[in-house]
Amino acid sequence: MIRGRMMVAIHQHRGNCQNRYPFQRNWYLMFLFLCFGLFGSDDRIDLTEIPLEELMRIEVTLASRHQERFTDASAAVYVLTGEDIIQSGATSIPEALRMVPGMEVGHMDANKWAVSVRGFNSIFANKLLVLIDGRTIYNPIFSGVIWDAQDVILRDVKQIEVVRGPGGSLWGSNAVNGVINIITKSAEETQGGYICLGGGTEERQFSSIRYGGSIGKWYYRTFAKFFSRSEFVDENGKPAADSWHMFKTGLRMDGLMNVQNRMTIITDYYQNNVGQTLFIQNKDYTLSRDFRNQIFGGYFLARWRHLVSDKTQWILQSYLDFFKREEILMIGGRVLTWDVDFQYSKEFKFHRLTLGGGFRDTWDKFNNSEYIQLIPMNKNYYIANGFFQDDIKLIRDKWYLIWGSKFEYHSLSGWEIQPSLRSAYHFEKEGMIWIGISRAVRTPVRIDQNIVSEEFIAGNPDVKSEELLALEMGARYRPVKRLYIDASFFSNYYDNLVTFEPVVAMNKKQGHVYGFELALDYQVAGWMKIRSGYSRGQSNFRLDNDSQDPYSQEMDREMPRYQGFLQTHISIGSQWKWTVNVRYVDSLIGSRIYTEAYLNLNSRISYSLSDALEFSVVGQNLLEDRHVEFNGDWIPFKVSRVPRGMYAQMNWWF
Amino acid sequence: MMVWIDKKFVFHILAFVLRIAVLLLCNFAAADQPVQLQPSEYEIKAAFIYNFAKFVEWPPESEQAARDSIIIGILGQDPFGSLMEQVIGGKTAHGKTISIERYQSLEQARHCHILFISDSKLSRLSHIIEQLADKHILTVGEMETFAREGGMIYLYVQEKRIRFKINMDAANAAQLKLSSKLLKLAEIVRNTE
Repeated sequence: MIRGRMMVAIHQHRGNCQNRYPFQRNWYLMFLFLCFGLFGSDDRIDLTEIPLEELMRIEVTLASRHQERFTDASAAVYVLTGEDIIQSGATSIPEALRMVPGMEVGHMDANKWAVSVRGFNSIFANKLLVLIDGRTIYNPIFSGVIWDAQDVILRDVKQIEVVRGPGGSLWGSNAVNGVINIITKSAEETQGGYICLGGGTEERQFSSIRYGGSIGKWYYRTFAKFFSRSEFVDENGKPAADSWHMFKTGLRMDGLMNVQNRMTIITDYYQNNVGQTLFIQNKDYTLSRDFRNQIFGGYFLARWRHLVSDKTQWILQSYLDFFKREEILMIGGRVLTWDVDFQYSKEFKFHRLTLGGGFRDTWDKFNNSEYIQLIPMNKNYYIANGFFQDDIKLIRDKWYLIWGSKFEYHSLSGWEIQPSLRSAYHFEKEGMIWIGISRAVRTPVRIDQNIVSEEFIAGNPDVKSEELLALEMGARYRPVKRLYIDASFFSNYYDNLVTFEPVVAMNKKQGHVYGFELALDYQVAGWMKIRSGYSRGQSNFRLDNDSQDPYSQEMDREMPRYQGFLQTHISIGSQWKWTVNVRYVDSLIGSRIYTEAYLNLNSRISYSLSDALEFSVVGQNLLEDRHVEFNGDWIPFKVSRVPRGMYAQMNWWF
Repeated sequence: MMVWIDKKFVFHILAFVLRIAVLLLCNFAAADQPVQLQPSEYEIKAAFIYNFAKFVEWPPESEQAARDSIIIGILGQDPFGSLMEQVIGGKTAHGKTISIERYQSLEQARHCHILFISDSKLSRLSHIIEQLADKHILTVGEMETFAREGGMIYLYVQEKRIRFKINMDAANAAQLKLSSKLLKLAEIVRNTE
């Protein structure tokens, strides 16, 4: 799961729009560039006349070297940089993801999110694969990502790469509707000390401390983070029982052994306390109770990157991940995962070949309760996989063809093949179009196969994988340097979708989901930047005639038909920064869900006293006292209203 | 009667609006200029190499000091393309004209002043460094641990700006005198062994 490295290039592509022009800081250069801009035609500036200290201030357009840009340019990729995330005022990963076109993010209660892309959103949205530093956080019991256990110091995030559309041919099963790659900075990029302190109405208090240094050939950083989040509110504006406290600590080491070898070691430990209200009603009893749950977890990851030459490299990675949810009645359990992954890539004259394989072994033990059980209670299962991808240059620097496939064996569900064929065509430097066809699957997990519950369904060991055949196309265009447009269209055909038939889980649903996403970045001036995204989606689902799934009777409005965001970022002098985020999400109506459309606004103002000290104030959800973002699911959690909030923060580097 | 509207206030507002308009206009105008506002990475890197030629002194008894031109060599696959010629072709340093040469093998490279070692020589780096040990050649490279591996100047990109690290041990061993101007702007590293 190391494929993320290949996406650097697209970041550079989009990133250009955000460049500060060199003259913003430097009058000398401004004069030079202006002179040539206005009067010079073919003459270049004589760079040898510029003193070295000035040369060091000039921003450059990066040349692509090891990673050529074509691979991932042929998919709907969007990159959030660390700076984008900081400027948005987000305090968690899902919050940051709101600023990605097409991303569906619903805050359900103070510690629960529904996050998906291109439909199928739910607290257990199971068609999105999420990786943090090459480690998958897809939950093997329930499928999907349980966000209350996922956290990083957002200042240490280098970038978040979001691929909308299937990534199965590289990343394997469950990368059906998209892949999110969260990449933190390397230890050598986070040297020195950093302290963050803050608090407010919803973010009641938070603090993090990080220190980075080096020993011999090794760079390291170590951090600790704590936060305490307030409850959201119920329909009457009274506090709900969903406060969230988290402690996390970790260490990352990057050993630059020599030009050919880089070793990376990352380890983390976290401890959470989250609250929730369960509301269960059946013929025997009615229960509405507040619970507090403990979550512990940690992982250890080691990666070795070896450059055989500048055209050939391999990466070997392995990790051990453990977590334990002490959760009453619902989804408690413990999971231990061991994963090893190898990837080799070699560049030839007319193509680049990437090969790899991996193995993942998982042990789990579910906390059976009177309400919900897995039978058997504990289980051991594995996935073995291999993949290849070949990027062919049909016309150098212009036309590329990319084909590849993943082959997986799941001990729970058997063989899966997920091929993909893509092509990209570049018009000079300013634009490109791409097109792709791919297959991806969501393999059944433990809960699909082994669940026993009076309330919803019984699992079915014979339940099949959910399948997707996706047709996609897109274009990127930069008509002028400061404007960047990215559009992508998709038409997804799903088959064998899981339904909750009375008695057992079956595959009795098919569907067609189609739509588009549009991103527009505009650098209005050196001091003003606009980022925006808009997406549309339509779905048509069909049930088999004999299906009686009560949750799928009405299902064509479960994804927002429209949604969009607009982020305006203004720098006032070099000290003040002001960001306003406006977002709109259309209503969701279905058998398991009902949420009204909402419009809301976040804003952040920051003041840098010096390079080492920054203060900021963030207003969250300012337009309404409280609103519901994602309501209803087949799990009987009580959904809270997201209240208006405010917090202040201090950042200090030393 | 809008007595409360001060003339000065109106003037300020107008001036502000005008300034915004001018700024926007300038921006649009600038955006449509064919001139590349942002130079490419290798243009600036070439200019850096020119500065190295200017601010390094070769030992007087060396073969390099005796030559009447300054030779900048590129070993391996050339990432500069024609940019090296465009930026520093025909320029002078220490009163001598600069010439640019490209080499496929190390044997050809032994008489140059500055040697840019391309990433394509990555797997041979330690061998190259060893071979050049007594040659008074300023080595420049872009590989991640270049300076720590015994290369003299490591050029890298940080936040889209070009930076460099100097390995003092390596430069001293080759008896090259680096001016204080270079040392002031660089990050200084030592051999790790």
